[in-house]
Parts: sequence; structure tokens; C-alpha cells
Amino acid sequence: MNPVAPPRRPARAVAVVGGSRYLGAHLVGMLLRNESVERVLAIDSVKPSPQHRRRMRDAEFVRLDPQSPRLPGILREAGIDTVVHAGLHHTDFAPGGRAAVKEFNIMGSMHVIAACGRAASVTRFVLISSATVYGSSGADPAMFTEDMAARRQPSGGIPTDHLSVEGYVRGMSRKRPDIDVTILRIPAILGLPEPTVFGELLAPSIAPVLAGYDPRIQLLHPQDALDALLHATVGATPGTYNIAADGILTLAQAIRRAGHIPLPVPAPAFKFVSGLLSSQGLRDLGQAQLRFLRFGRVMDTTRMRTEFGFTPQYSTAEALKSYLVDSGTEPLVTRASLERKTARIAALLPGAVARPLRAGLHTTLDELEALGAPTDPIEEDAL
Amino acid sequence: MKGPEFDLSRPLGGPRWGEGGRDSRSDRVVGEGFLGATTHSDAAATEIGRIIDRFLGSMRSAVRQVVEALPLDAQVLSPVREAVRGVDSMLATGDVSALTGLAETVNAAGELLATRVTGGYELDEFGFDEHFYRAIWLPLWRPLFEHWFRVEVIGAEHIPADGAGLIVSNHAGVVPLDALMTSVAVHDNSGRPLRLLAADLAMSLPISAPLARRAGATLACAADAERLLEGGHLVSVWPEGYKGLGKPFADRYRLQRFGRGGFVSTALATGAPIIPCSVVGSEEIYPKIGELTPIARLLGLPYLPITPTFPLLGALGGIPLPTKWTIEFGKPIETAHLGPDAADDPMVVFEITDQVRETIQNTLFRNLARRGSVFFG
Repeated sequence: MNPVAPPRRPARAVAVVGGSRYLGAHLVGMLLRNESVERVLAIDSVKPSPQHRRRMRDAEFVRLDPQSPRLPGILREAGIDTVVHAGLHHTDFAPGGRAAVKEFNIMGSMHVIAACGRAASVTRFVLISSATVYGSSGADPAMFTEDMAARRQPSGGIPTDHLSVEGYVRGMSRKRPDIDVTILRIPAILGLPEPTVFGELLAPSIAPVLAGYDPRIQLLHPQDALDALLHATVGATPGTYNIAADGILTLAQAIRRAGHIPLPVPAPAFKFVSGLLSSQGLRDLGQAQLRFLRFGRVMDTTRMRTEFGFTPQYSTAEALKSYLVDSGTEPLVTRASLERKTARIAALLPGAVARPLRAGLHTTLDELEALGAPTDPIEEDAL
Repeated sequence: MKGPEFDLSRPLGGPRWGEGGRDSRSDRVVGEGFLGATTHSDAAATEIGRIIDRFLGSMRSAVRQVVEALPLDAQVLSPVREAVRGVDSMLATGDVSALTGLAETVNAAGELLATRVTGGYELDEFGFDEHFYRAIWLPLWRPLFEHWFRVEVIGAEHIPADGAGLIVSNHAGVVPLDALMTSVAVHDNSGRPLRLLAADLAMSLPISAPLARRAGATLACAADAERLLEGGHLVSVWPEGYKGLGKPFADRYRLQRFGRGGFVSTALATGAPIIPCSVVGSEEIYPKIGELTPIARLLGLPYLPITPTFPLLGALGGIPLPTKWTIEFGKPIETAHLGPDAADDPMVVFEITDQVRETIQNTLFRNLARRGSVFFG
């Protein structure tokens, strides 16, 4: 899978497909700062948000549906030697829902891959796939290495999309052996604009979890994801790599670390209960997500360190913590939240009852602090 | 024309009961056998009666022994008694310092609870939670180990003090209590956590799946076993699997097929020593006399046992019989000198598999011969 290739030229002209989205836009910004790169082309079917536009600085932006027949011509004219496909959707929450996501993931990717196969100037191709290709089941090994396949083939949704796209990329690489192909399999990234199931479960004070299960979870900090992507783009050894942070957490443990309470919910009622939270990431839980919430998934990252030559800065626990700080997730029991909740209750009560209640809360909190019990666990030792 | 002659005075189909033409079988007067010579069936009946008598007798004394052995002995009660004495002397003298012991206990419990509630514990990649293992999991099973099964551990010096090791053991008892007891035995004799290689059913069922991972188990597959051994862990495996665990009572202490010797290949590939382990006592905790195959198939279980108490007594049937256990760790079989290439040599693998199997079987027979009674050792 990782042939000893002839000395690779550094990337000079890079096209980033999916350049309007978080990873793509940030990668474009980073590539512009890289001196070996002369030209950066961001391609996407939607315009970048002003925030992302700022990141992309003076990169060329081509608003183009990847399915357009103009794509091969653009790659050829710009003399592109490296194509980064950062446009795969990792969740179903794009406008248009599952149908649009599938159309984009499969059809869009097929066109991008076909265009690269036709463009003689392209010598490197980078795909951001995801860990979901390994599926989730009770018969899973503790850690997946790159050459393991899913024990239970994913039956639909995002995992199947990613699996098929990886297949198309391999097909292209067979036809064009001169193209160095790198596939990065990444776990859930917290803190991206797209909501993730895991991220949404960290938000509510009482978070539903599947009763009787506690999945193992591995994360990747957004900064590490970008660094790995840049590393793959500017000339790491090609191949398929698992990219993930060190260490693992379980879902219940992460919820507890956020200062919240996991509420075990039986599987049949889970969709209903998580729907009550009315957060976007939990609205359309598919079979794949439910299985992930049962068994979780952990990847082996030995090859990332040795062959790919990349070490993440953040561990899983640190990535979680920085997300909790950034997203302003508030623990259930803090001085501020208790005071606010008490104030709300006190407003409903007659003054004679409310005043001792408030005083009692303050006395309790002061006593707790005197004992050394931290009432603001997350903010206190923030990164 | 004359047809065949029928004697219509005699009934069709032979002589009627009680009248003429007696055959040898009906020659006997009812009850005669019990007055006269003893027949085989009578001897069997008497023997059965005697067996039941003996069984009831042993059960009676077993119950007595269990009551005596209940964890409510002086040692267990001592903290309670001390706490009571502390409160007593405080009330008498007004000296609060008598309560320090109590305060320490409360503090320790509070710290344990705080760590669990805030998620402040660490997991390794397999999901093993050492804090949970030492503070909750082992203490949970230790009473069963010490007072119910009264496990005797032989050859604890064979457990490697450091580095990788693969403990291979016989499997029995319908419910894998032998795995838990071996964990306690290994931890209490060497201080090392034992990493179990568990069946995929244990890793997929609700409650059992996260609990097993938390307690250090992982799926019994070559990839995981190798990863654990390479990490220098003490790993244990039960190569008989369900065939051993769910074997009928009549087959007790007869080792089943040892798979394809996958555990030997793994040990060879990592150079880890194999420690044969023989557990006596586990095979009688739930005497399986039958199976409810259709229900088991419906529930997706490998078997659903019928024991003398289950499902007859419902949940009470889940109480294991208080047999006396012996866990013997044998001399480690070194594999490092054979080199990792031997893992692909079927002859070497078969040879070592047989060696391990025979060691376990012989040790089982030896300890069985030594054992006087199932319940008292």
C-alpha cells in the first residue's frame, strides 16, 4: 500500500475541493503561508462564509459544482499537481439532508476523482475519509489498524459513502500509478460548524446514553486535523492512515467530565428522548450512529507516527477539554449556574421563602469553597 | 365349503388377563419380587435412596458450613465494631478524635465516589479502567473468592512478576465465574491485573459489554491478544470457549478441544511464556443436566442451561453451589527461544497445544484425586 516512491516533488499548485468548508478553508490559508506552494485554488459549490473567506485570504476561489464538466479543464489550465478532496460530508446535516449529502459525497467525489484521473499534471491526491469505514460492532478488535476491514459491513449512510469513495480513489490509483494517493481516516472532530452526535450529547445537562452501553471514543482536535492534512498535502509518504489523538474516553466519562449527568435510556426510546433535546446533531440518528453509541471505535495510530510522520499535539482528553472551554458548555453544578437556577426558583416564591433560600445557597457554596471543592471545575484549570 | 374354524367362545387376540395360557412374564404375583429375592431394579432403587440420603446429608452440612463461612465473620465486622466503639467512646468522653477512623473511611468512600462521578479516571486503549478494577471490581468478587468458593491457590510463584504472560485455563461452570476467580487469584498473589480474552457475546451484550472492557477484558482475537502481550500485560485465555463452559455435568473435568491452537501462535509470535492453569471446583457450581435449546436460539445465546435449581427456582437457581475450589498455576512453558517464525509452523503449534492441554488435564486429575469432597475439599 505504501510503495517506496521515487523522490517526491513538493506540492506547488494545490486545488482544494470543498474549499468553503471549515477544513478546506483553513487548509487553503495554511497552504498560502507555505513557501513551497505557489498557487492555491479553492473549489466549492457554495461561497465561503465571510469568516472562512478571511482565512482563505487571497487564494483563488472557483465556485463550481464538482459535477461540472469544466473541472478537468480548470485543473489542467491551472497546472494543478496536488488535489485535496476535503469536500466529503461527515454528517447528514448539510442543507437538503441525507439525499443531498449522498449525491454530493458519491456523485461529486466520482467526478472529482475522474477529473484527477484525466488531468496529466496531477501527481498527488489526498482524501479525507473517516473512521466510520471500520463500522462498529461487538466483534470489533480493540483497535483498528489500516488494513483491517469492518467486522460488520456498514449498511448505509455516511460510512457506506466513505467506503465507496475510498474504493473509487483506489480504482483511480490503479489506473494512474503515478499519482500518490493519501487517504486520511479521521474520527469525530469536535468544534467544527457541523454538529456531531458526540458533540451534541455533551451539551445538555442531562445527556441520554444508551442503557447498558458505554462506547469508547477517540477524538481529534481541529488543529491536529489541519496539521495532518497539511502534512499530507505538502509531501508525506502516501498511503492510508488512521489519524487520531492519543488515549480514549468513554461517552459516559466524557459527559461526566463535562460536569453533566448521563441518563441511561433503553434503545427503543433513545431516538425519542434524544429528539426531545431538539438539537440538530441528534435529529436523524441512523443505524450507524446508534451502533457507534453502543460499541464506539478506536483506531491504531502506529502507522501515523512511524510512516506518515505526524504526532498530534492534543490527546483525546485535551481535545475534549478544549472543546468544552471553547463551546462554553457549562457544568451542572457551578456557582453561576446554581445561582441562576436558584434565582429563577426564588422569583416564583414569596419573598419570605426566597430570601432564606438564596442565603442558604450562598452559605453552602462558601462552605464548599472553604473545603476546597472546586465549584467551577472546567474554567479553573482551563487550557 | 367350510371356512377356517373359529372358536367363538375364546376372545380374539389371546388369553384375557387372569385366565389360562399364562406366559412367563405374567407368572409372577404382583409384589412378589419385594418379598422374595432382590432384583436388579430393587437394588438400584435402594442405591438411589442411599444417594439421595447422602446428598441431603452433604447439603445439610454444606449449608452449615456456608453459614459459618458467610462473610459476616469477625474480620469483616471489625470496622463496624470499631466505628461503634468510636461513637461510644466519643459519647462517653466527648473526645471527637475517637472518630478519626470513621472519618477516614467516609473520606475514602467520598474520594472514590468523586472520581467516578467526575469521570476523573483514566482508561487505556482497550477501555481498561484500573481505578474501577482495583476499587470496585475486585472487591466485588473477593467475598465470593474467599468465603463462598474458599479458593486455594497453588503455584502462585509461577505467575510472572513482570512482563508478558499468557495464562491458559480450563473453562467450565456455565457462567464464566472461573475467569473472575482467576482474576482475583492473580491480582491477590502478584498484584497484577489480569487481562481476559472474552467471547464476542460478552463484548456485545448490554451491560456486559462496557463492564467487560472496564474490567480489562477484550475480544478474544489474535490482533487483541498480540497487542496485549506486546504491551507486556498478563493475559488469560480459555481455549475451550463455549464448548468447555457449557459442557454437561457428566463431562466435568474432561477438557474439550483446544480450538486451532491460536493462543499458542500468539504466544509464539510475541515470545510470551504460557502458564497452564487448572481450576478444580468450577465444574460443579451449576451442574448442567439439560438445555433449553429453542429459547437459547430465540435469545441468540449459545445455550440456556437446565440445572437442578434453574429454571425451577427462578432467580434462586442463579446462586452457584458453594464448591471448594483449587486454582493451580503450572510451570511456565517458555516460547521465546523458538522465535516468532515458529508461530507459522503448525507442527510446533500443535505440539505446544498438546503439551499445555495435557498439563492442565493431568493437574486437574491430580487435584481431583486429592480432593475428598466437592464442597469441603
